[in-house]
Amino acid sequence: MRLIAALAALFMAFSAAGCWDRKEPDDMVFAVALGFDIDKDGDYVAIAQFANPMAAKGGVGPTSQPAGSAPFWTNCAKGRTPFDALSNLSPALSREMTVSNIEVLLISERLARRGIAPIMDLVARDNELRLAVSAAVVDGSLQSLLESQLPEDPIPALAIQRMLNPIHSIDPSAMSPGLLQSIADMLRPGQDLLMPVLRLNAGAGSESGTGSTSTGSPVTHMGSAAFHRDKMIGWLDGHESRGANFARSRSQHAPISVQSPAGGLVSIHITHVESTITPRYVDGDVSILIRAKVEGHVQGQTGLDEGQAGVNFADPESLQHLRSRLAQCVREDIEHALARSKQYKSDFVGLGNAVYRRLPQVWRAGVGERWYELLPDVPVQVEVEATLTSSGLLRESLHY
Amino acid sequence: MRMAKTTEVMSTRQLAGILFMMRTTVVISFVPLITTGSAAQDAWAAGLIAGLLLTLAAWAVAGLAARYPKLTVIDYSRMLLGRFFGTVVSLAISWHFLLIAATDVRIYAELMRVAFMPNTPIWFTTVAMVFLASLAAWFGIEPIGRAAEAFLPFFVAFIALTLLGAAPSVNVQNLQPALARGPGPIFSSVWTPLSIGLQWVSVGMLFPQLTPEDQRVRSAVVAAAVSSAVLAVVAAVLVGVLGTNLSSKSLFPFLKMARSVRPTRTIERIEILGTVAWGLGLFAGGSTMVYCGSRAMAQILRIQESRKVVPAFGALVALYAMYAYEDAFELVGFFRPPGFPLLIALTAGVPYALMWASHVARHLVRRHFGR
Repeated sequence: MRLIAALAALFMAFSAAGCWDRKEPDDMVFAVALGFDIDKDGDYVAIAQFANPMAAKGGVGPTSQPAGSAPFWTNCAKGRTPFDALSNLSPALSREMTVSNIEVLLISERLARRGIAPIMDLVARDNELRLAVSAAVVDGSLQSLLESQLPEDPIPALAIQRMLNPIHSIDPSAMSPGLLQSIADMLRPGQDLLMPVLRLNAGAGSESGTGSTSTGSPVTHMGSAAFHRDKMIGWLDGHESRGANFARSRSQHAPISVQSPAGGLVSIHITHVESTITPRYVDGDVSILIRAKVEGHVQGQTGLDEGQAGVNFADPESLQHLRSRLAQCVREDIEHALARSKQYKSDFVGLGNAVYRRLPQVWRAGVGERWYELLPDVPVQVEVEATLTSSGLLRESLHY
Repeated sequence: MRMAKTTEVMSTRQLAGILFMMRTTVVISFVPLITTGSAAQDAWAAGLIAGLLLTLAAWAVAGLAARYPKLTVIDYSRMLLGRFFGTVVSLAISWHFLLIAATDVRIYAELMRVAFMPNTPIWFTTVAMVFLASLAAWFGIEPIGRAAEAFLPFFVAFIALTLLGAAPSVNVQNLQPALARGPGPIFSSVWTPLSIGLQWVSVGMLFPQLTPEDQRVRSAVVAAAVSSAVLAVVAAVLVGVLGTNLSSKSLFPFLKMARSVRPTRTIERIEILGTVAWGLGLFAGGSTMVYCGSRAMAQILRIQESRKVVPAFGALVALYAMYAYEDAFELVGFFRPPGFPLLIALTAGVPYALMWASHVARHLVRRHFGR
């Protein structure tokens, strides 16, 4: 019996060693960002950014070739399928490439307009790639973006990942939904995908010339890309994507400046948004009611010149004025998003999905099949209830 | 007739633990509630209905065993159905043990190949797992029971932690519209999970060894109810995270869910929890099936010591696991209704119905004619 136990232990030890799938870290190279583009011939282009931890502390500039001193480097290859392109990265590498540690997946505008279903299929199918990574569409040259050095982090992929996933910061644009959310949105009836956009700033390889306010960083996270099924239809600016996120309860933090009853502007930091989309079906017509509850606090104000006291927050009328102005701003953002949705015939707000969920019999009775024909003419009513929770750490304005 | 002779005992708590782990392991592996029918967002309801039916089936299996507490199912099948039909049923039951052990091992081997070790051949994972299960079966049901009892808290904790890690990613909208498509789609997802309850035939083999005697039926029934409730929760969380489309198209939806979430910035990867739990459950279930199968074969072949049959039965399990299914497509296809549920209904449902009918008839005859 002891012999059997000893043999069993030996057998288990051999099993644990993983003879066929052993991977030595020294023999591997880790991609931290992955980008997909498509060329003029219709071939897929994969661009991978690799970290060089040994040099990450150094701050030496990037290079397109592996080098001991650069904190990161990129490699690019083509193929007839996304997997072909990814596999074709290997011949230029002396080590085995792994994509299990990528932080971001970037897609060029050209490919997004052609259709991202093959990319999503690869990511969902592959045993290394994960749906927990952040994803974005790049407005500009994807390769230039992946070769750009960002000031906050020696490895750009990490900076981009943080940019797409701000924890507490105020971001007026679309939060990165992550690949899981993206795929779920693509597959959900009556719902289209809205992906965040990374814009290359002028002078950093931008092709579209959309411009940017940022000077320190080569890239700006602002606005969104609207899709219909797997194809990108068009861009949303910061206000429109913020409105879409208000309507979908996906944006929690946003700055809004409203006209002050005392003159000047009052800045409000929105800290919480909760929305419901309620469909109605009356006399054969679908209509939608979007109710949003917004909470925020006063963050600052202008118009505090000599003799100006600013807003009196103890005055109920002033507060009511601010609340209604805030509600109006949020309503306008949502309405802008809805207008863009109807223009693009892309239901990124998820009105159709609300009909599918709340009125399943109506959806099955034919509305589902004709939804994108009906969408431009569906009346949508937006009601916003705004609450100001505090005036910050000041009860009254400072005036001189 | 050769009656089961054994001095081994196992507590009813250990049996409940084994049954719970065995069912949870197989059902979370490819989540048939979602992948074999069209219940989609109502998979949780299908899980509850399958659980209710399985609880009744567990009562039927354990209840019949309780009428013959000193005998195994091999003994009383011959007693109730006659020598020929009883032997046919005994062989079918032995095949069930082989089928369950081999299929469980093959699913795990496929998981290892698809998700973790793509270059490691199927035979290696299969032989390693079957060897371990056979070794445990060789030592007997008592060590298996004790091991299962020791593993159970880890098993439960790992499953619970995976669900907790995924919970923040649940989107309740994925579970809507609830129960809106009528009973048809829900019932289409009931039959395969219910048929996987075939595992409860092991109760018929282990019943004489269970102690305390007054809790034997209850432990089998409670294990069916609890494991089914857990599976309904798993189905709800899984659809909430992945959505109906992605979850129903995944080969291993539970693993896909665990790999698709990032619970915190410090704890980024949690799939190892589910995979380890799966391994523990496979050990408990696989070794129990090899033990039961070996005992059944020993009784049929009139071999005094069932331990002698363990190596041969283990080899059969390994061969069946490797050659019964050509690839993952065939493995998934095997469970698809109506084929699999019909197969189980014919090979397990009908024999048990006949045995119950015979038992009731004998009981009535005895009561009316005093013999």
